[in-house]
Amino acid sequence: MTGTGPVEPVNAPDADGSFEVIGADAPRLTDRVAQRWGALPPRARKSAVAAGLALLTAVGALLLAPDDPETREPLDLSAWPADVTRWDYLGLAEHPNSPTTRGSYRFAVSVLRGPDVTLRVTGAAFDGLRAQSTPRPEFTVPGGATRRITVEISVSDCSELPLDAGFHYLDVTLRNTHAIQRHSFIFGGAFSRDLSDLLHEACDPIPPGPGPRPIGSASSQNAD
Amino acid sequence: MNTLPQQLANGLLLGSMYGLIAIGYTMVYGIVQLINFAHGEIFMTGAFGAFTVYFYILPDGTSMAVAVPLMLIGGGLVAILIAVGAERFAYRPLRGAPRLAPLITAIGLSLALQEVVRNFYPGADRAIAFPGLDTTHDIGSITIKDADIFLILSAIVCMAALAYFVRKSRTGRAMQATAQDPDTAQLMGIDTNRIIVIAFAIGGFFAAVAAVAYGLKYGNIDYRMGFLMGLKAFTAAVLGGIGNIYGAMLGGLVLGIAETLASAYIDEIPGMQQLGGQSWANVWAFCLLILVLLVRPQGLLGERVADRA
Amino acid sequence: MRRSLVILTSVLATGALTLTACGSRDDNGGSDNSDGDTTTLTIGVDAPLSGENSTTGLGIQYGAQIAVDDANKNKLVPGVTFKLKAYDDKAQPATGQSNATAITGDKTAVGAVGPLNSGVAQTMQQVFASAKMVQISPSNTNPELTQGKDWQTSKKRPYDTYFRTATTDELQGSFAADYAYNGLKKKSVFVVDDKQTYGAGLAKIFSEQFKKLGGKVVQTDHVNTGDKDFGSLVTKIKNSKADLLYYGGQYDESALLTKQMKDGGANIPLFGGDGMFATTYIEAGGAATEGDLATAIGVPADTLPAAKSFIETYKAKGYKGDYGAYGAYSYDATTAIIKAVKAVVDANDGKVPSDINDLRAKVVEEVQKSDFEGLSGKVAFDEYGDTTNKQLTVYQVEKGAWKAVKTGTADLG
Repeated sequence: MTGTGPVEPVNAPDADGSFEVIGADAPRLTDRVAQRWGALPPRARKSAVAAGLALLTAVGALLLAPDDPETREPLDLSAWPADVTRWDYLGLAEHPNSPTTRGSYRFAVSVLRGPDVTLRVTGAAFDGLRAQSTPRPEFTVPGGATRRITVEISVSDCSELPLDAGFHYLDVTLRNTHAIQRHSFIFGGAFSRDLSDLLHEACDPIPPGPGPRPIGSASSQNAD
Repeated sequence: MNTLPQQLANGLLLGSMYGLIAIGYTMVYGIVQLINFAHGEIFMTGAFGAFTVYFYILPDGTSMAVAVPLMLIGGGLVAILIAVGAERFAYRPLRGAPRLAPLITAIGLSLALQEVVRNFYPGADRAIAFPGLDTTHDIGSITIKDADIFLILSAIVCMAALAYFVRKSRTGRAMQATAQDPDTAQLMGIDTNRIIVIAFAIGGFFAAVAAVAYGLKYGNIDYRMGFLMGLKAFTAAVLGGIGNIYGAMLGGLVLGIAETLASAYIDEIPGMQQLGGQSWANVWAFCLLILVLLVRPQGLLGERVADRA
Repeated sequence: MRRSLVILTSVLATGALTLTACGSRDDNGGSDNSDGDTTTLTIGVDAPLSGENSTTGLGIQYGAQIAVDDANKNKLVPGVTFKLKAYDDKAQPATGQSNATAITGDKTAVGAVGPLNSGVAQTMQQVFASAKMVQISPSNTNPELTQGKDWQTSKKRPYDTYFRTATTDELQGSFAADYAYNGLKKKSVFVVDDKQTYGAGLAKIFSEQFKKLGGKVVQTDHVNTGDKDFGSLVTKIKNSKADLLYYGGQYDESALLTKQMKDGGANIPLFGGDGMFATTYIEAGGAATEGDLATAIGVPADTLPAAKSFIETYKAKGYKGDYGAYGAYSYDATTAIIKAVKAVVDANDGKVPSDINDLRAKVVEEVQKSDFEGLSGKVAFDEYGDTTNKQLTVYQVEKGAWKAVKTGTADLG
């Protein structure tokens, strides 16, 4: 399931599971709204969009105008992806396998403004860790939108993996019409603890599987 | 790897630089009993003089073999000019005044020189990149570069020339006489004013040589470089016995080596980790000074002379 | 008598020459034209404007200057003309403190931007807190300043008046450690710091994080600010067989250190923090800096579209110093104060409160509520006074210029 092909699990058996098409695990409310929206006649839809846009523009103009009389040129089109993309950790998805060398973590990815940003999770700092968004390794978040995605992290080699690093990283390639950037998202707090839990389970004290080999805890090398 | 030879070489190099600058303190003190605290700044202006020759006068791409002697001349000229000018316009009018007066003048002059360079030399408000002689050579376990060789050679040549000059030349002997007793020397027909000017000039030139070596070795110069180097060189002069030119060089070498070895090895002594390392080098250097002055108040090579003042 | 004179003079001269490092130079950089009906309010900016660290310090001064000019030109706060008054702290804590006293003593001053150095900030915080005047540093990164002495165990904000637009060394040190270990694949590091609040703090955090990741700190040493000769240290570094030198401190010393280290045959990169991210580092260290690295707060200025006109103005005005490290942050810090004044004036029926102490106290409250898009991204402060915009970049010297090699955004929730 971590294949590189464009997997699109329409009506897949685990479609209501915790990890599937990006965005498809959004609250059901939106689904219902979408259905109703689809049921409207095209003209009504168009006028609704136009009215919505007009309203937004008006509100935006009202909010911005007095604050900043000399409005800057429309910067948004030239926004660099790393400056407009935000990751927030939501929590642990289930560990899908046992023995535990793999965990799934859910994030909310927001693109604050500007054009759509396409993201690909390429790693989690360490050589011994693999990270990938599931089910598709690459996903797009439209400008101004937030998507919830699941990142699967698996432990491939325990040697040289610190078990309590304090901060954990996701290396992500970000791409929009303006630029391609390689960027790291740094997490303290909950994600760091959850990932450390996985590393402990996978690498300490008994290494699971044939691949990982046992090492002393990272702190034993701390003499300086 | 045994680091001792390399550390000794480091100390020797640093010490040679201290020694070259210390000559200026010691000669002036020996003859007029004045501690020329602007000497560190004369060293600094020498560096800027040499840099001016390199950057503004010589065409781009001049080989360093040609450039370095010209820089020595340029830096030397500037340093001599300022040293002699300081003597003529700042110290000579105060000759015979209480000793505190020329001392305070010296401090004022040192501040003035720093500020003049900072404000009027283009780009001098921060460090200026100086051309380097960075080709390195490995001799056994010692790594040194061309700038280090230049420093050692110029220290040896300068010292030898100075020794010859003071002992053998007529002016040199007149200098010794003036140092021993200026009044009698004058009665014997020695032009003491000329001797004093020569002492300042030699000190200035030696400082300029050290400044060029400093630039070549560290790769940059700035308007405050004279402060710490001047203070250290003054310490070296006192350590070696102020008034004695060999003492100045010896004091410089002892100080440089002591500093280097202290920062290299003291933190390896069990229980002394907190007192070792680079940042404690100055502390150990001044401890050494205090110790030497306790045992030999006249300095390593100083002579116990009856106080004339 | 003669001998004692030598000793007396040496003591006296050392003292006197040390004193020369103090003193302040006031630059009246502002364009002040007070028409009768407008109120002139002063914003103080404190940074090293001469000597050590002055390249980045001047970047702070002129970043603030451009912010003030923009606000005056756009009449951001009707009826108020802002004036910038620059104070030179020479990177000396004592000078910073007396500058802080001067700023708070100025009856037209509403806030202060600066300082550059965390150690200087420590002495200024109390002064501003007593005067209930806001102080925003564009560059201080030491965690203690906002989160208290025991920030690692229990965070507690020491001063309500202190804010910063820079992120902390907790993050910076960790980011550097990660890049050293995972990006550069360096496993043993020699750590040197300059014993200052900023340098020592950063080096300590880096060491801890690097060890946590599994790396080894083979040896540590310290230097003094102002040191020039590092021969002995270089030999130690070479002998330690470390594959990376981490330096906590400013570019003045690290540029000399990297040159002497490479000339001395220890060909390992030097990695430092935002204190050495300046063009002067490359100018002073020359070719020896090639391959050296530094982390800096924020993302590269050229990826910030909003910063474009700022950079153009900076260059067009021919300002000295380097805007690259903190210029945009200084602009944002100054703008935060100006916007806070605007909020206070708006809440007071468009009039400037006549009591300066009242105005200052209200400005502090409004700065805490800041929320706007600045040059460096979103400007907002958390409950400790730290910026919520936590971005970092690793730069490497490539062909004589700093080039961004890795950027990161933190979410420490």
